[in-house]
Amino acid sequence: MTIGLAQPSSLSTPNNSPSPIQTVVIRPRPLPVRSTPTAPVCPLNHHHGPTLFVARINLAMTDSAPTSSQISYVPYDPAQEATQLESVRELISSELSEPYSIYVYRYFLYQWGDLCYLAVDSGQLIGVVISKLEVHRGAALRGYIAMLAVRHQYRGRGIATKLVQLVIEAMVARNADEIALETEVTNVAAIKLYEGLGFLRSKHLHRYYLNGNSAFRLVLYLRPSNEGHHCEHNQGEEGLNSEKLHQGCSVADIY
Amino acid sequence: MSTDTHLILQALSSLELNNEPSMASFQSSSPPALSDKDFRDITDEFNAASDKLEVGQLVKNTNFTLFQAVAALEIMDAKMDSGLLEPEYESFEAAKPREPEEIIGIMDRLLCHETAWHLGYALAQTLFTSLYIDKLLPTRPLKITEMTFGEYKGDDDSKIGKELVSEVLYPYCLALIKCCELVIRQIHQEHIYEEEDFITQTYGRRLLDFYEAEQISLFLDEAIQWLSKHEADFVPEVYKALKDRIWIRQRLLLGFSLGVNAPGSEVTEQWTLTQEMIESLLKTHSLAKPVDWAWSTSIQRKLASQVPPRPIIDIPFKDAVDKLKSACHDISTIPRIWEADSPSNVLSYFYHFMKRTHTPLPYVSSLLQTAFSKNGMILKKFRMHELVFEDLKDLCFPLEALLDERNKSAEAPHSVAFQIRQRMNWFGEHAGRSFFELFRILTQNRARLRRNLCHTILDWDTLQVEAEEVDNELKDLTNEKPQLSADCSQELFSFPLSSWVYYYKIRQMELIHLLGFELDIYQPHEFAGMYWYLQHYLRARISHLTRIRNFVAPNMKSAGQKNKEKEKSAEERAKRTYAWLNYLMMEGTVVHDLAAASTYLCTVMARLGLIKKPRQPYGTDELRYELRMKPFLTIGIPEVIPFEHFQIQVDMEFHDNSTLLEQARLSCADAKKHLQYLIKLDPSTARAPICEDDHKLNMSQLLRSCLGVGIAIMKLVGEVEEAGLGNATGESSEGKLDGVVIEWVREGYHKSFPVPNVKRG
Repeated sequence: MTIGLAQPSSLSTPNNSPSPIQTVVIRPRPLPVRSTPTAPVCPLNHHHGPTLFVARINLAMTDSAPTSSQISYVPYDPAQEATQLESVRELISSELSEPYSIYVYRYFLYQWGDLCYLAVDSGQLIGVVISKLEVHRGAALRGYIAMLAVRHQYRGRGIATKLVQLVIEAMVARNADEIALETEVTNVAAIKLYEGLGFLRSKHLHRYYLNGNSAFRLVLYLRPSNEGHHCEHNQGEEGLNSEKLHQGCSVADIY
Repeated sequence: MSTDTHLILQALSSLELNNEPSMASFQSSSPPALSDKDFRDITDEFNAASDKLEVGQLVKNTNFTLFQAVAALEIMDAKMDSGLLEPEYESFEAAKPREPEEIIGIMDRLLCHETAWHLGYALAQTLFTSLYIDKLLPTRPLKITEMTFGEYKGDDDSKIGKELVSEVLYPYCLALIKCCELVIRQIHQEHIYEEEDFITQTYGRRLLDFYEAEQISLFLDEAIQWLSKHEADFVPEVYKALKDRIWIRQRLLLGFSLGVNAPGSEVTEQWTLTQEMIESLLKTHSLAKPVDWAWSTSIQRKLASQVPPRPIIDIPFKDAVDKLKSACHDISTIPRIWEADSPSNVLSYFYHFMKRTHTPLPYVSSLLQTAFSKNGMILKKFRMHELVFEDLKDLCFPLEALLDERNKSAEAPHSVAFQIRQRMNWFGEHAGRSFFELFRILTQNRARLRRNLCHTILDWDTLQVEAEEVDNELKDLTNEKPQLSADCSQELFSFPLSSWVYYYKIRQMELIHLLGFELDIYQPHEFAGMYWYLQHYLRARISHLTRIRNFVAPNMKSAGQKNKEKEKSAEERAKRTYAWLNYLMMEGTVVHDLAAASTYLCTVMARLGLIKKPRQPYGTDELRYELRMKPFLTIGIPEVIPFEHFQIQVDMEFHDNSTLLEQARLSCADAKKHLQYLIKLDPSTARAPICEDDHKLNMSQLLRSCLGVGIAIMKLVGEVEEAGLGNATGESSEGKLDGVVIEWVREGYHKSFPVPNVKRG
């Protein structure tokens, strides 16, 4: 399953009933809120919080169906960037017609590595979610789920749902006001997944993706606006879309 | 910042990574001459700088956005770097003799690509992938004689085949290129969303902008002459197919060159003729021989672009022809807006325009915008404020003193006439802007329309408050006599300006809801609540129109006091206003009743488990309500009701199923009855004489939805009775109706009123 920033591919139906043997190895840590780095060059992202077990990921991928299913969910570990990033990239790009440059991955993982979770089976990466959390338009602290992918053979077992839940809980722990994402209008399974968790379709985005497909923006409010600050309040349209007139934006309007 | 970091930044800035490439380098005809001394090998410096970075460390300018990160390409990655494509175009021989059937095949595929481009795909995925077109595209202005297919050096010596390429296909391609240029020129003039609706990017190629359409058309004349001369060399059908294609291209060229910039009859005639001719293409398309070798994505290698290699977009020939035919038809009807006798007629046209089943092309939308407003003139005859005043008179029948022609000549600043004029000018200017914007956003795609409306209602809300202040002053200036409210407890004034604004604000709020259903933004478990809100706004519309109507008679009397002639004219105008207000109320009632029936029905279906709500472990229903109602939260009136009230209104917890279904049945029957009456009315009463077809279709779809919802209600009544759940209320009926499922059907129904098909399953 892959839900990307642009060009998401079709999804199999995720099964919301969790697999009986599915265990969560690591719960999301309560993380200190980290402000968005302002220095042009960011310091290395050192691991926050207590040291936790992190599965070593085997780079060798197999196409065979899973036999034993001891699926564990682990946070991304920046110390293992060299090996983990490669498998993350491989997993996501195998579902996309156009891969993202390495920079996109680093953009997220370097700044919000603690909002990335991996699903691992017997040392192999089988699912990943990548996201970010920042103040949006000077108001709400908005989480954004950028990419979600589950290896083909593992779909329909609630793995994607579990990954998204981990991210939501991590964002809740960091006082997010809301979470947003986009998904292709034809991606029924992904939409179902998010709607099942409490997201609502807030907008229809015409021809949002480069392949000409439209998207829904899905939003989940975590706190009422008198506590947080749900930002859009009609005024500002997100990101680049409002400025799209004759400006030739190319990939996707992410903000 | 560490020293290392400084060094890295320095090294990077000396690489000038941040500098935009100058446009000159794209526009110049050939690469600027560079000698070896202009280059410096920086590999070592670069490696040294990057060695100072940890794996995974990010060097990021604070202004570098995610959007830019996503737009970045990785060089030497075949999926991202178009430079890795094989340059197939290099070996292509455009001048090689071709069979006539191949020429037909090439022309037909070009037409498909042209249409795909009109539908929103990039030239780099459509026309520019044609190797013939590629041969002709200069990066600098050339004499047309320099734009050629080149020389053929092979040994195929078919004279006819060679001349078919040079005398027929060549001018066809030139004309096609010119057509694209004319389309881009038109689209740039208007408000069309680049990328989202249409891509005007030409990758630095010049599309014959340095030649007039008439000059290019001469080449097509010559092509027709050549064909006539060689008629005997072709099978008759092939001859006709070739000639038709040249003719149609000539028609399109003239059409795009004309746009809507001519008298109405000329525009209509031009595009009607084109539409008729395009039809003929289908009859001869079977002769076309596919010519796959004449297309290649490798062209993207040469195009100055920041996107990865993208596939060629091919649409079926029939679809292309149908799309073009619809476009010609759409354009041919645009001049009707110049003939309309009131702004409300024009607004109806706009209201239905983008709702058409085939969705008008962005080019056509841009023409509608041009036809509406050009060089500061609206509909060729009004200034914007005049359009507002026309509509104000039509809808609200304000006191005559407000728009008295004599106000214009009042010069004494203290005179009442001067004071009125000043206030009316203010209103004309401000309301004019908002009114103009409303017309314009109605030409946008439906998703964009909804998003834009969510913004514009805020402007209308502010305008309403300001207009109320002006109204207050105007009522004093005109010494308006108050009317008593129905219960005689209040003195009421007409407040025509804010009334006008409020009416349009409510209509836009209704439309946001209707579009929520149409665009699939609302999900079935939200239907009951959202139909309830639609009713809420429609009730506001109806009661507001009732208020407006109460002032028509007194204002008419005061206008007709002076003499018989004035009295007659005021009566005529008042009659027209009455008819319009009545129609709007009735139409509002129909939609209200259908929405009410849908609310009751959906509430019962949700109780019985036929509409299932997702689990939603995160967030709360109240937060989701806040998110859903966000566009309306700051609107003064009608206001968003508190969540608890909303829940009570929608759940109707203490009413049993039979009661709710009976209410649904009655509402639906009322909607149907009134709708059948409305359908029989003259289109001019509905202010739809210039968009009769659209209006009729809308009405018939509404009727179908009424019938569909009616059937669903009846079926559910039967099921509920059978299961003995008639007396059950909210909690006690929860999910109890076994063996029944529903399926939402949209096809054939009104886009905002999908119908649940209730069935045993």
